[in-house]
Formats: sequence, C-alpha cells, structure tokens
Amino acid sequence: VEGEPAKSRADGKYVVARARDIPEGSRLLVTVQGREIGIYNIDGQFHAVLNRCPHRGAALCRGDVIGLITSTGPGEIYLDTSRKFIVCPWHGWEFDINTGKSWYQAPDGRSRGFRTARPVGIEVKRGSELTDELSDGATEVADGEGAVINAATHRIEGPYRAELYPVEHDDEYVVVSLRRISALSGPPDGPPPPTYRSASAEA
Amino acid sequence: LRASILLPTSANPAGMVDEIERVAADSRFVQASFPVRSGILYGKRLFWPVYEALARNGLVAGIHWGGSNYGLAPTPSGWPSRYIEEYVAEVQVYESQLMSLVAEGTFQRIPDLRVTMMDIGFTWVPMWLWDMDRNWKGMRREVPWLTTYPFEIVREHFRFTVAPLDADSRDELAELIKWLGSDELLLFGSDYPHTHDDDLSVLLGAVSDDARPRLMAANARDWYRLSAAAE
Repeated sequence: VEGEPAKSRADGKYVVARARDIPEGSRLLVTVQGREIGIYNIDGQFHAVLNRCPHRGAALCRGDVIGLITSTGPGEIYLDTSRKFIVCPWHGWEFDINTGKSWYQAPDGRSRGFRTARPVGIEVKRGSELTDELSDGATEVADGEGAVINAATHRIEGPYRAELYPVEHDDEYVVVSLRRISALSGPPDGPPPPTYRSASAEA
Repeated sequence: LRASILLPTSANPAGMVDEIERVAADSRFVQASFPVRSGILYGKRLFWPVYEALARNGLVAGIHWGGSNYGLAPTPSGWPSRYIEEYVAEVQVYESQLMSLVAEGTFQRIPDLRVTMMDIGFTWVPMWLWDMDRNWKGMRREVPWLTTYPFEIVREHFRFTVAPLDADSRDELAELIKWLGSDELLLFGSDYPHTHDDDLSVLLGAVSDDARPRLMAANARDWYRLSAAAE
C-alpha cells in the first residue's frame, strides 16, 4: 500500500488480524506503531505481549508457551496447563501470559525479580463493528505465521489487505490497543510507562 | 583414629548397602568411600538406597580420587597419555558427580546425606557453582524439585578437604574462600600417605585467626559428629 500511513482508530486501537487466522495454540507477530507485538491464541483466549523480554531485550515471543511446572520431589513433575507462561528463548525467564509478570523469583532474595513483560490490551471485535475503518483503508489485516502489519512503513507481509478482501460482517477481528493494561504497570523503580499520542494528537 | 568403609563397586548398590549395615555399628567408621570415577553418576537413584543407609547410620559419603575397576578414564574423551594430564583432569569427574548429586534431587530425597569431596582441593568449587546457579535460574523447570540455588544445597551438604592446594598465593586463596561463602566448608586433609607438597601456611594465612582452628579440626569434628567426649 502506498500512501497515507495506517491510522489508528479514534480510540487508539488497531485491528491486527482476523481472529480465524490465529487458530488456537498459534501466535502471530505484528508491528503496530513500530512496536512488535505477539498475538497469542491460547485455549481460545487472545493475548498480546510486546515482543521484548524485560530482562535483556530478547524477542520474547519467539519463546515457547508452557504450563506451570511444579514438583513434590525428585522425578515427580506436575504440569498445570491452566496457567500459561511465555518462556524467553535466551535465558528461560517465564512470564505469565495473563499478567505479563515474571513468575519466578529466587527464594533467598539474592536475585532481583525481573520486570514485568509488557502486556498489551487486546479484544476481539466483530467485523460489523469495524466496517468503516476497514473499507476506507485505515486498518489492515494480516494473515499467517510471520505476517506483519507495519504501520510505520505501511507495508504488509502476507496477502491480506482490506482493499482486496471485502469485509465479511460475520468475521471476527483481533483489535490491539497500545495502551498498557493499567493494573500491570512496571515496578515502582522501573522507568515510567511510555505514553502514546492519541489519534487526535497525531492528526 | 576414624575410618571409611570400603564398599563393593558401584555395579553392586545392594552389596554397598549390605556392607554399610554390616559394619556401621562400629563407631570408628564415620564415612564410606566412593571412588570418584564410578561409571554411573552418583546422583542416579539406583544409589539412593546406599545414601539412605548412610543417612540412617549417621555416616558421610566420602568421594575420593580414583576409579572403580571398570577402567574408567578421568576424561570423557578417554585416557590421556601422561600422569600430569590425569592429575589435572580428575577434577571434572568430581564436578560431574557434584552436579549429578545436586540436580537429581538426592538431597531433597535424603536430607540428612552429607558428602565430603576428598583429594581434589576446593578452588574449582565457586566457578562450577556459579555456572550451576546461573543455569538453574533459566532451566530450573527441568529440575523443579530444586527450590533453591545449587550453591546453597552444596553449602549445606558438601565439605571439601583442602589438599591439593592449587593456588600458592595467600591473597588469591582468600578471595576464593570468600567466593565459597564460608570457610566452614573446608576440612584439613593431607591425602596421607600420598603427598601433594602443599604449603599449608599459605592457606592458613588466607583465613582469619578464628577460622584456622576450625579449618584444622573443628569443621571436621562437627561434620563427622566427633564429640569431644568421644576423643
């Protein structure tokens, strides 16, 4: 697409994918406003996490998603699949997919806890709620593993663009908000959360 | 004078248990001897009945330089050509045994087990455990029964005899002992009748006045539960 950069919706939210294109157990990487974000469908629930490990900056969303592992003794391992964690591919730090919080802290306090991975607000909208934005090219839809919407360069990997694919009102879309989930801000000694200009300020 | 029980080879854990039970009532035995080159890592659970027998009888597992009758090499890549190579390489077998005993959860299963690493010095211990600690943080879900740092487990369950004394600088030894986190992990040992030609005064100069008698006697007395009255 050549022309105007993608606009955010008036409420600062971005449509990033069709819901059906992120099947259960899969993950899609998208770029919104220059920020790479992993969109996960875990047990039918959508989650979005900034693709940056708060430990050393690795591409966090390249890591595995695992359940909670506990043990009552040597050789006895229990897997709780109802709690899911993203595991950083560099150092194995685990982040709760629901809260973004690093789950582990050393028991003796010798090791500092790591900062919270940054969760991103996410919701699923019916296409009928997005018709206006999709039809005027303000929002774009990507598909498949590795497909990326790059709002900054306005280039899209993968075949889907709003102009080429008419909106089906029955479709569901995944909408991402760059506003951080307020209850999950960083630790008191961490840097202040970044602020994002609203769509009206950009205009 | 106190002694170690000589056990059957590690191919025969049941025989090891039998021998411990046979002689443990003699209080002159305070330890059972395990050659460091065992063929099967000592953390494996086939040895747990042996450690349970030790713990039951208040005995220490003493891991000492040398191999069993399997003809096991001191390196994972086979036999070196010269004694100097074997002498230097042996530490990696101790490292592997320590790692195995910790990682397999031996001390979670047998909390009363005590292990003495003999005849390998102690200068290797801090670096090896920094590595284990660091990797435990990232890979601990492989060993979820370990609920604290490997180094913490080692401080509680291991002691190290001081010979051979690899370093010959008082300052360097003082630094190493600081890294160990406690001079109470060190037991005087000479490997008699073998000799390593260590200058013990360098080591004694590296620890505090308080620590010297501990290192030379009290640490071992505590570890082997030799009450003053028994002397």
